[in-house]
Amino acid sequence: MNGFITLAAGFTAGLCAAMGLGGGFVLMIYLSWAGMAPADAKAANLLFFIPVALVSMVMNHRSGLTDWHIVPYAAAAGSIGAVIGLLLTDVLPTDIMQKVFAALLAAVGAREMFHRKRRDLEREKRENFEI
Amino acid sequence: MKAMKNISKTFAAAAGFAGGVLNGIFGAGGGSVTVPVLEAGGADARTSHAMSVAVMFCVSAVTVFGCIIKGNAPFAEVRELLPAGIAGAAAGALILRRADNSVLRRIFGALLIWCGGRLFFA
Repeated sequence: MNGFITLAAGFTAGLCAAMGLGGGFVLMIYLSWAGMAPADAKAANLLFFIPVALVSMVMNHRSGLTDWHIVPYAAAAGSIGAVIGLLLTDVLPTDIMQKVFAALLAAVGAREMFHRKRRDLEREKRENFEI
Repeated sequence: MKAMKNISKTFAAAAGFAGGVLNGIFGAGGGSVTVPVLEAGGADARTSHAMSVAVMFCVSAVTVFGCIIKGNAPFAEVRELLPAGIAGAAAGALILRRADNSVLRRIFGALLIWCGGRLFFA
């Protein structure tokens, strides 16, 4: 049973991570259920994500979904942000940060979930016309 | 690809930075900010999600290095999860290739609300 749950968790986390759909959260939920300490779960999640993202990146590149001109800028800024985030974990109260982050997730989620399809299509049409 | 070209480097950097800070603090959740910022910058949902994976790959490499320095390196547990994870990643990339932008956004939104709720009441 445990082996099956591990397989299912790994597959679901990989699937969601490759689609940019929050695979990290899926894995974090599984790891905390499996009894792993939060700091180890955080590291395990990141270690898991690296090869999974690599596979996904190669396939997304073949599908023409990645613009490599922009990635270095976002990645460089993201790496600086990650170092700042790591340093902040020693300073900021984790419970309050967790609540703030949860509220932010819900707000962004609501925006994504209830977006207007028509407005997106109009914007796409306008951009195609401009190009 | 057309939509991606409209995103400025500054906008992309802002998306990466915000995602990086969250990844550094929580070890997850960077994409939850990177994707909407890229979308707000003019990218469609599929390219935003694909770009987010590429950006978070680099960010995670930095963050994991920090975790290992702090003494957290559960390699054995990750090795158990990886084969299924790689298979899932291949399936996810294939689905993303054909996904409808609007449906993708709604699924992403639902997942974020669920994760936010779980995290808030944890």
